Amino acid sequence: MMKKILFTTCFLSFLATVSMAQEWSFRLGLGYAFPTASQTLDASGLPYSGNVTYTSANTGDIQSIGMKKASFGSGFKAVGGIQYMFTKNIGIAADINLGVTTPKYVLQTTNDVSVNKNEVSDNTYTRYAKLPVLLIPSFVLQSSGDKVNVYARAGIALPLSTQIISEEHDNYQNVAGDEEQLNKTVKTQFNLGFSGALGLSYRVSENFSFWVEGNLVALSVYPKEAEITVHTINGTATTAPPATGGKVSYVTSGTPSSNYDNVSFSIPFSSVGFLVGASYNLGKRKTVHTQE
Amino acid sequence: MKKLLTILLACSSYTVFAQHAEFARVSNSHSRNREKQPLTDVTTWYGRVGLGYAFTQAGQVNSLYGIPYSGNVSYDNTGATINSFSYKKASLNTGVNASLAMGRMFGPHIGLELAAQFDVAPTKYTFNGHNLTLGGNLSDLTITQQAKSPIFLIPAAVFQTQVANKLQAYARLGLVLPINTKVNVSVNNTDPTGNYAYTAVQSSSFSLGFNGALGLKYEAAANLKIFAEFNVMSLSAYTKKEELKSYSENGQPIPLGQISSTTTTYTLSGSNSNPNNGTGPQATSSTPFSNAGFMIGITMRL
Repeated sequence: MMKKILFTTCFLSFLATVSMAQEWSFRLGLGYAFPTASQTLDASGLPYSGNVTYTSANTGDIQSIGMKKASFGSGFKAVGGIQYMFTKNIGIAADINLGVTTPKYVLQTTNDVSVNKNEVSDNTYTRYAKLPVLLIPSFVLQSSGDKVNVYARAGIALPLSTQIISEEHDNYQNVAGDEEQLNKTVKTQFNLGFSGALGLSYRVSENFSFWVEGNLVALSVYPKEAEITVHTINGTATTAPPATGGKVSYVTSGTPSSNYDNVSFSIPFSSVGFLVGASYNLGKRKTVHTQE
Repeated sequence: MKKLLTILLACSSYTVFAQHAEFARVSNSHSRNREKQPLTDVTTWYGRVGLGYAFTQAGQVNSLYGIPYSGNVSYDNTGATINSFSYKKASLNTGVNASLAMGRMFGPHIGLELAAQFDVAPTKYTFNGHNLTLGGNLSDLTITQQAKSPIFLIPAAVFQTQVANKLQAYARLGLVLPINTKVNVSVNNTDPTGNYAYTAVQSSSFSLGFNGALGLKYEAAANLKIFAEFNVMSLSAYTKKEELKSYSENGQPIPLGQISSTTTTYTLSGSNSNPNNGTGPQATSSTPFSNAGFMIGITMRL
């Protein structure tokens, strides 16, 4: 990881040294991101999305399964950022990428004995990202057209918020009406991702442009801690573990304090999508050298 | 060794192509600044050869078997409590890779490129488990997994711009079409009843990935440039089947003809024809092939 950061830093420094200041701009955009480099199974081997029917023999053998791939970085996006062009062609930018709506991944299991081996249950698992926020600093390369310009951006994706909400509802078959609800908020460790975009901008006035771009975010995050927000049985709070307000930590090495579920795992956040928006030129800064 | 190989490749290529350098620069009569005029690759074909190294990016912890790709775990003598463990993130498309590409610029800034990328020395991941409970016995299990010469086709849009005399910055954004994402698997298990070991090859269904790069090119000769770039690949493959290649018990090879089923299929959806004995399609899992790395090499006009 250090090598990646070092390389990026060196590259940034190098470009900065060969450039000259020119102008600032501000941009806003909306778009949609589709899952890429998705995963099918979570750490416990259960699908993120779809359905699993186990045999009625209650042995845990799968009778049928239907899975969908999942990435929590997909959905509708809003982007706002600033850009600073050193020259007509080279610049840097910093964007905030906000997941306005994120897909809810729902898994339905039938004849499940994974929760409690002595009790068969039909379970519903719902998982989604809670307003994910990424900070994306990047390099900008841009053509030098008058009205129409092609541009490319490449940078790193810094996850500012990538919390996952997990809601589990279990209907036990052996005791009619016996229901259990377990909700938790999973916080993640910091992990570096990468982002790239290729786009087209059209200048409609001296300071105002429209743009459209295709973009990519390559990112996985890893759980650090989960907080139990709800644990009820038949609608009543229970003191049975894990208790409401309790916390579970996730690690990749050491000695787990309770069970195997404390082992950290990867949560997919990669996406590919498009954005459309507008940018406003905040005015030229006094340049060091005349460009033309 | 990797650095040496890279330097040798760059030097030898430079020598060969420099001898045949007869490409003229395109003069830019509209520019009043000679230092900022575009270089030669305006509406031209070019070839690109590079060598680099890729690191794990967006890696996964668990493999198809629900067991970590890399690391170790040790349970106590009851097999119920973990004494210690240490796992690492993994991507099967890391290590030394080479790229061969051909492209065409349609002006000073925009072009298209098709690259073939080869992971020439993919990382081998090993998991060691002690006192794992498997089949009712406490087992010592070792699993190694390594991609089998991964190959990718990468069609991409190229954008480039002049940043200084003889120096260009460029970016690429494209698709990743996996040509080969097979994975070699080796399993060795010892428990009180004996030892078994097998090797297998996992193959994946087709899955689209994405690739991006940001780099610099320096014009070393009229027709030759040296490039250095940072690149990212985002790709997961999904296991379609696992084919048994060898099997042994207590060190004695067992002919595959004596084994009832040598192929296990994995799907996103399906019904298990005989769930009680574990036959039929199994739930597929994603195999991580994402990476981030750097590459250096040469481009030459064709």
